[in-house]
Amino acid sequence: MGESLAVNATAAKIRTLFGKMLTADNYREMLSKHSVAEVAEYLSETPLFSAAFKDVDPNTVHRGFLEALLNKSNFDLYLRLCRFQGLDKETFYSFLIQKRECEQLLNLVNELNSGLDRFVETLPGYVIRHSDLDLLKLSKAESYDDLLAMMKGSPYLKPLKSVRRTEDGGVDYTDCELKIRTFYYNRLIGQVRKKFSGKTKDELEKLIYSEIDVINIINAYRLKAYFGYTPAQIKATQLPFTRIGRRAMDRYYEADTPEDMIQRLKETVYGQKLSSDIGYIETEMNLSIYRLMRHTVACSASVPAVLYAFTRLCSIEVENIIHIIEGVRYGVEPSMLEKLLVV
Amino acid sequence: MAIEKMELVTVVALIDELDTVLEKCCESGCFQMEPAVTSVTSSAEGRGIRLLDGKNPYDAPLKKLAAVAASLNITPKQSDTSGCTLESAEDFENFCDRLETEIADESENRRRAMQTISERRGAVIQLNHLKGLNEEFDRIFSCKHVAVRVGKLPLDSKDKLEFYDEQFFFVPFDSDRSFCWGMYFCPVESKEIVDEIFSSMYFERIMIPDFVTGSVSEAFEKLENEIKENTAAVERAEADLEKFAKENEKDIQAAYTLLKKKCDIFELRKKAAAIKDKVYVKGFIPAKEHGRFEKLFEDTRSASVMFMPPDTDKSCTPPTILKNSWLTRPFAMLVEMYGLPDYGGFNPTTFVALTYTLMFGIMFGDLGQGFLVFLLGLFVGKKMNKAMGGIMSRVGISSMIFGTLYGSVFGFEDLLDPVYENLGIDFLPIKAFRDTNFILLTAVGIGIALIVISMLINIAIGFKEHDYERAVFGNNGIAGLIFYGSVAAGVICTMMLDIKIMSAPFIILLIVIPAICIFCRVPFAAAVKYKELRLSEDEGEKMTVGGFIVENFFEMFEYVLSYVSNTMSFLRVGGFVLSHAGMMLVVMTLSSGAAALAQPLVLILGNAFVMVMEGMIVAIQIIRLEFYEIFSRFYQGDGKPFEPVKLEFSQEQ
Repeated sequence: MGESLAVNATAAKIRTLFGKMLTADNYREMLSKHSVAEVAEYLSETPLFSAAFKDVDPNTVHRGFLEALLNKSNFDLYLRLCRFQGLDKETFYSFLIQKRECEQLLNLVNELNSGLDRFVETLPGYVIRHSDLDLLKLSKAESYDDLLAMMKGSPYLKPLKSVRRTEDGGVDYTDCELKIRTFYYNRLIGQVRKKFSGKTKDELEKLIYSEIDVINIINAYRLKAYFGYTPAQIKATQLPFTRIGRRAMDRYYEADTPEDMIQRLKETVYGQKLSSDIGYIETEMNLSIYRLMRHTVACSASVPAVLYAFTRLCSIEVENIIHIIEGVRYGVEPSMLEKLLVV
Repeated sequence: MAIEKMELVTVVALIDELDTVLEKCCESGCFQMEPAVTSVTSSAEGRGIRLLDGKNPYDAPLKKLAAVAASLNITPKQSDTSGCTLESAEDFENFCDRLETEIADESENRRRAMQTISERRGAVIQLNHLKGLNEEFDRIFSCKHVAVRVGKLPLDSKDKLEFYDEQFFFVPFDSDRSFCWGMYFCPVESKEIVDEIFSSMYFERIMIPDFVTGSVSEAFEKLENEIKENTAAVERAEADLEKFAKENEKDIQAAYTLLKKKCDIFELRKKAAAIKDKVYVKGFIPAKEHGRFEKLFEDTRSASVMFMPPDTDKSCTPPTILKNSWLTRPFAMLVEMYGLPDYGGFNPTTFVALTYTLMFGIMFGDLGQGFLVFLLGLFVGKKMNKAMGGIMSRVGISSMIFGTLYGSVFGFEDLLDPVYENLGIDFLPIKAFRDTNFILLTAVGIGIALIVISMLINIAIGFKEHDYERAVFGNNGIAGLIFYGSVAAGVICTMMLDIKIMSAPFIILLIVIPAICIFCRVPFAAAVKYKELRLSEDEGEKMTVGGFIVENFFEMFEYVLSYVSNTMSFLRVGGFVLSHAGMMLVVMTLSSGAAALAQPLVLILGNAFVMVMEGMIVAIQIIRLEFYEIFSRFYQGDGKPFEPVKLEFSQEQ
């Protein structure tokens, strides 16, 4: 109780930052811009991104660098919040670092599989600095076996070792993704259960399991709609966690057609607000997560839950901005882009 | 005091006289234009009605002329147009083109010199980051087998460089919070690959312009000289332009004034409508301007003006002009702040003026300070804001009157005691800390009286509008008035006067029955209005008995709560009497504790502080009481302000 009260200032700080996030009107204004430079200039005047864009010349900045800057800005914000009241000493609060670590490992495996040597180029500097893994050293790996050898002593070794190998000596990337993500969420949920109890634990579990459900729902829909996977094949690729129960998820996976899937989705908590004319399943599902995270940030009394939800909202915000930047760059119709925004 | 009577006016004229008609309307200064037709429907189109919403031909030349004026440093201002012979949009276009041609050379020289200055200054900024380079640019860039790129690399990417096996090396010169400035060298053969690597790490190349030669220090010197030379060129060009501007300013100002007027008048066409060769312009004027307005159109060729009662056309709402006496006029500002009354509605300015002045006097009663507020009001009214000054001078007088009753002059609470003693008035002055209960109870009494008056006004308005729910059964109607008045009388008689009036018939007749009326106001009003019993005003809405009870239970609860809270809210009137006396007591204590020479200073500063701070708080608190406790009982404030068309000269274009 005392501990939770002591960190309430972090929740208050987060709520203040939450009020400074971009609104639908801001997105609409950005959609009306004609070039990436104009979008960059607009962002440099927003409260949350002005510091990150201070030294950037909007007229010369590269689109990729802009996106990297947005991600870095969010990561720095997360670090600042964790350090504000010394929360970074607790293992749970390194959830974003761990997430980025997993993403980079998957990038590396992908590069090894494709034989391209571009891992270092795309490796964000802030992940290099904060990760427990020596990612720059790992970039020297020339094969998956090299990678396994370098990972000795790391907790990732076990899931990486269990990944299905292909006949040409490579790895099954989908299986690797499943194993790494499962490992990440397993570890995260373990930390939640070990460190927290009562309402905080319940809220965090709800957030994490909902996030997993949404990943599974989107994946399953894509596999059914675009690759015609059978229910058994779909189930084999899903993360083994759920908030709404195995039975409800199985019922969704076992639908015969994508349309049927949507119908069954409407029976779950994630599909309650689905419109009759669904544009993109990704946007619709992320919207349900967005609402949950917003509600948590606004109403929750639990600092870990508020921080977790806020971090997710920041990621959604950056994804929205990236959609806009790409759309503006390639001259996509604003009305089309608007459908992709989670807001 | 009431609301100014309006008249609906329709002007019909031949289409070629439209601009003259619109000009006259603007000239009148009292014509509020309304759209002649709200939208052209297919049936209206069938009758030949069309809107005149074409493109404004004067818009483009106006912008062009404004740009020319800006480039000549001429600020457009309204001037005499009698000498200007320009007529059509084409004439103005030609005028602008002629001006542009005449200043083209000088403008181009200035633009080119300014661009060069800007480029050189940009290069200076870039070179600042290359101060660590001790080699001549020419020598570096003339290498045959080595490719060189100068630029900035994100700091995040710098650490990654050592993990590449390609043949290149990066020389850093300078770094800031986000970037490292430097140059990389690589063999010409592997230039493409290395460029791609750096590009993927978001290396931003800086093109060192051809004009930057020699070493860094030599380049700096050269750049500075060029900036100086071009600055001189800009000055020469500007002097020539200034000369041209002086010679032509009169013509430009006249053309701009005329063009702006034509452009604005054309904009007004959008509200007019045309049938065949005739145009219709519709709007409202104050009835007292009838004669003057009619006279304006006497010398026109085809215009005829028709006057009608303001409610003739249901598609447009008449605007409201408040009609007040000189005494209450400044307080119209407060009413407008809340919202104007409907045309034909109740003008509450007099009521606000009386209550505001009364409450300010009670809450800020001090003869000396009130006098200063009065003087300040005269000054503000003359030099700054007439309405604000008017309010200040009136409340200042009220403050003086109550200050006399309290015997308070600049915080000296005993100064007037001898006067009252000599006059033999023993119940005065009223001392805040002696008569605390009297002050607080009087404040509540004033609150009750004001709430009752508000209810009476609401009842009168309700009857006038034939709204029986509002007038009879509502919480601010007759039922509400009886309920509130009886409870208030019951409490006062029982607790303060020791008169037992709360008998069973009293409670049943004056409290329970009115409460039932308020509870069932919707069905009762429907019974009177439609001769049938309905649970909802809206016929289509299906309201169940359960739903009706639940909804009205909570509403009733809210009404009762608002009666109590609104009445108690007036305690602040008494509270501020005490607060004012308390604050002045602090000032007096501080003054008596200070050195003899400092005492006047403490007194002056203390009085000034109390006047500013408390004066403002009291002013705001009374506005709050007016808007929440009083206006909410009878006033809607959704009237339309009177905004006559006029040709305003602004430089925004």
